[in-house]
Amino acid sequence: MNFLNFDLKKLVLTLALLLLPLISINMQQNPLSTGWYDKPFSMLGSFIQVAFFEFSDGVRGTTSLYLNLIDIKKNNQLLESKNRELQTRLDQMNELQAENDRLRGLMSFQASSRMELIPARVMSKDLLADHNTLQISKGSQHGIKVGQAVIATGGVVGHIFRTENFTSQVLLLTDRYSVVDGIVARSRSRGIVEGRGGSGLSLKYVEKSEDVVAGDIVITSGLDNIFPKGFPVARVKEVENKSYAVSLRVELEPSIDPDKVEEVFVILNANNQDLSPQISMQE
Amino acid sequence: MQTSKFHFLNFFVIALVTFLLAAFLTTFWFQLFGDFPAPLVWLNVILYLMLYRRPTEAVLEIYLIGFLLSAAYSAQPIGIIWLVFFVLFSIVYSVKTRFFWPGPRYFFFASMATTTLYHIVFVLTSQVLESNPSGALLGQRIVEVIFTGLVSIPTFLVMEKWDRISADELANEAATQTNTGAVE
Repeated sequence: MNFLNFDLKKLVLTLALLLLPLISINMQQNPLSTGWYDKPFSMLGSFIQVAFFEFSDGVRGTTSLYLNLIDIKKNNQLLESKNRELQTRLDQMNELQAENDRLRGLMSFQASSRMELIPARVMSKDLLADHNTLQISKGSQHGIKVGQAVIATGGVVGHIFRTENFTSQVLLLTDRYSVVDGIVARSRSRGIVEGRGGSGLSLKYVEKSEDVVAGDIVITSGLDNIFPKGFPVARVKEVENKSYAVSLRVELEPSIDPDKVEEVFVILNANNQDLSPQISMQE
Repeated sequence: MQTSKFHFLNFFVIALVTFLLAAFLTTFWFQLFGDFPAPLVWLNVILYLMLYRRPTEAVLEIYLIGFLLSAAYSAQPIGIIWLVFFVLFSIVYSVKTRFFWPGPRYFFFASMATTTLYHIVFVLTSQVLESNPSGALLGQRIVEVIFTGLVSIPTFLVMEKWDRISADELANEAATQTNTGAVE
């Protein structure tokens, strides 16, 4: 009965295996949505990542302790021979001062802000190079929910898109799936800040008549109900006005390098804080 | 029944180790080496399954591993990952039927080629299906291809060893069953 003489069973099986991803893509309206079936695995993954994070912290601590011991030995030899104790102490004090300044900056930012913030440490990054996400050390147990904004003292980092009990995943501003409503602080021109993967950003849908120049600061508009109004997002790197294009092509440089950030704040409640006046004064 | 039990055990251990390795790469590697690209060890495991399992079994197993990795460690939707794996499997399988010899050397070359193919297929799929597709990220992808190739031989040896251990267990079990049957 099989006129074309092929294995019907194999063909049906192959079609079923090919249809599975296609149906999955078709059914997924929001690429960041997670189903109940993801939960146990993401929870298990989060526990394992916490364990690895603690372990790597320990390894780093031991390594730096060992290196410090070598430094101390070296310094002692130098002190005996060249009397450079004061200089060494001064260097160490400068180092401590820098660390102190950084921590004080974080504390004063939290204290001076009306926003309800929760600090967290960056634990891990996305498995695939095609996505810019981070795992942070605070989760739903600490009051974190999907959709909350994540910031650092210098600017916007991203937003929470997945939470576990003790960890959360942050979609960085630079990820391809990330879009944030933005305003150019100087001219109040509006646009959508879209991630381009890697470390790039672009401001889209800016009308050609708008006044945008390189060096302008782009801030959050607050309209997306995720980020507080007036928080720095990026600086305009390049503006191109092509005659045939319907809008300006605006390239941005993020205010902070998301790859280098170590501590972040999750905004639990923005308390309607508007930071625009501070940005205007800085400009 | 016993055979399927051991096949399940074999795959369960492989999936668990791949899951742990992915956690290691996203956390431990990141803490020590920052944003420097990590080897795609999980892709080597997937390649091994593509080469050393029956076609249907291989596709189902790599779909399951893809689901585990996507659910726990990435923002990438599972549909695209499955589609990329299916295309990758089709290419690897058609090459394997024409040109294959078992051993670490073949696996090394296959790993380099598969990692390169994975990136190409991923970018193309993303260009076709996503509104804001993945970029070239050339430097990062090249480093990943080299690193993945470098860790392919140890991965192959470990996987082959585990397959041999499982097969021995399976043979012992079968022998015991036959003997018991003979006595009875």
